[in-house]
Amino acid sequence: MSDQDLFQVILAPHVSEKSSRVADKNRQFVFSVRRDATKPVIKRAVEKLFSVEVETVTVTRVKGKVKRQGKTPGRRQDWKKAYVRLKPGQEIDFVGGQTK
Amino acid sequence: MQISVEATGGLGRRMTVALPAERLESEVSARLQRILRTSHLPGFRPGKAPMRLVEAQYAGKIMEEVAGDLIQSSFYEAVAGQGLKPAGGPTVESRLLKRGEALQYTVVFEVYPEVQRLDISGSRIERPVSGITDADIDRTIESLRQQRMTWTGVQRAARAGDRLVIDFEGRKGGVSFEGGRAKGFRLVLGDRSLVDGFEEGLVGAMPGETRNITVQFPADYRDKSLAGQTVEFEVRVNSIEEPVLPNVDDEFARGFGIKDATVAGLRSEVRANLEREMGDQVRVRVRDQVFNLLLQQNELPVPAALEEAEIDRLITVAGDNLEAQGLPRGRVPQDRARYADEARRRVALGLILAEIVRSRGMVADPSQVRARVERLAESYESPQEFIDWHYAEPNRLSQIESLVLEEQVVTVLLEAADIHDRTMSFEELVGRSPDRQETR
Repeated sequence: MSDQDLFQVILAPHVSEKSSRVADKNRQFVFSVRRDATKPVIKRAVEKLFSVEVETVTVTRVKGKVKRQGKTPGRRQDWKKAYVRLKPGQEIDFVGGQTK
Repeated sequence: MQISVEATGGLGRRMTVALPAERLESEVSARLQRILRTSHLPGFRPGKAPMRLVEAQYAGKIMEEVAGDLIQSSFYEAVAGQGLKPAGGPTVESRLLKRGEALQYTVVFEVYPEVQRLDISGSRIERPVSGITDADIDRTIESLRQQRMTWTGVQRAARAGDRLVIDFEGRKGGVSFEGGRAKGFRLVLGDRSLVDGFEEGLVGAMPGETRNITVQFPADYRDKSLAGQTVEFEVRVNSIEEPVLPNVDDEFARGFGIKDATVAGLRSEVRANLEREMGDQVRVRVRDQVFNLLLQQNELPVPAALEEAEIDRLITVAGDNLEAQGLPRGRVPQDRARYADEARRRVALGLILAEIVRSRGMVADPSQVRARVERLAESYESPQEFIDWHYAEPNRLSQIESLVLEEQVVTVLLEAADIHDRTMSFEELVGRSPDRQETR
C-alpha cells in the first residue's frame, strides 16, 4: 500500500465517553477506519498522520444500526473501529487543531 | 488594577486599565464549570463531557463575554477611583485578551465639564417694571373690534378700505388671456392684493359702474407672461361694502363668552389677561438674563456625546411641532449643523443648572408643582383629569417639576444679584411677542 493510500484509511477520530476513558487509562485512541483496513495498515496510517509511534492496534467491526423510515426497514452501513495504543509518552491531541 | 489616564484635548480622556490575570481567569473558569455540568456534546451523556472538550468548544465565546462584562464593571470602578465623571458611554479602542494573562484595555470617553461659578452675585439684572394703562386696554379692545368687523353694502363712490365685488376681464393688446378674468371677485381697496394701479383705478367708482383700467405690470412680476406687459382691464363694480366696526357695548362683550358680559366686565377681563401676559414677560426677561449671565460666566466646553443627543432631541421636537400643524415630519431640516449652537447652549445651561441644584441640594417644592399643574390644567376641558393623570405616576410630573425647579433656581440666584428696575410701557415690554401683530 502506497503512502498516498494511507491517508484514506483513517476516516475520523471517534469521540465518546468510552474513548476519553481509554485514552486517559490506556493511552488508546479510537478511530473509525475503512472496513477493509487491516491492523498493520492502521498502524502505519496513524504513525504517518500523527507522527507518533504505535504500540498495538485492536479492531472491532461495528454493526450498522437498524433504522426505519415509517414502515420501511433500513440499515446503516457497518463500520470498523480501531483502538490504537501508543507507546508510553506519546499523545494525539484531537482537540488542539480545532481551537480558535 | 492599574489605571492610566491621559487627556486627549478638551473633555476627551483616554484611559488604559490593566486587570490582574486572576480576575479574568477565575471568572472564566467559573463559567466553564457551569457549562460543564449542563453540556450536551455528541458521544457524551449530558454533563459528562470532559473539561478539555468543553473548553475547546466554549472558551473563546466565554472569554469575549467575560471581557465585555469586566470592562463594563471595571470601567466605572476605575472612573470613580480617578474622580472622573464620564459623560456618555466609553468606546473601547483596543484590548488585550488572552487566557492566563492580564486583561488590558483602552477606552476613550468624555467627562463632564467643571462648572466654576454657581451664582450671579453682584451681577446687574434689569427687571422691567410696567403697568397696564387704559390705553393698553383700549388697544386690545380695538384689535378685538377689528376681528369682529362686518361689511355693509353702501351706495356711494368707493374709497380706500371698502370691499368691492367686481367682475373683470383683462386684455393684452386687445386679446383676453388665461387667468385674466373673474366674476364676483372680492377686493378690499388698500390691501394691495392685485397688481399696482388696479386698486387705485377703482377709487371713486360707483356701484354698477364699468371702468377701463390700463395697468403696466412690473418687469419682475411673478407671472412671466405678464411681466412688463401693458394690460387693459374692463372692470364692472357690482357692489361696494364698507367696513363696520362693532360698537363697544354690552352686546359686544357678550360675544366673548365671559361671565360678566358688560363693557366693564370685558375691560377687567382684558386687564387680567394683559397683566398675566405682563407677569410672564417680566419673568421670561429676567430669566433669560440670568441664564445668559450663567453661560457667560461659565465658558463650558460641551461633551460631544451630549451635544449629539440634544441635537437628536431638537430634531424630534421640531418634527413633533410640524406634525401638530398637520405637516409631514419629513419637512424638518436634517442638517445637524443648524441645531449645533442651540444644542450646545441648552446642554451647557442644563449642566450649570443641574450643578446649582445639586450643590444647593434643591428639590422642587410640591406646592408649587401642584399650583403649576393646576394652572396648566385650566386650559383643558376637564382639568381634574389632567391633574389626576399627572399625579398617577411619579415620572409624569418630572417635566413640570423641572420647570418649577428652574424657576426656584432663578429665584434663589436673583437674591444675590444686583437688580435694577427699569420702567417701561407695556407696549415696549411685549413689543416683540407675536400676538401683538394683529393690531394694525
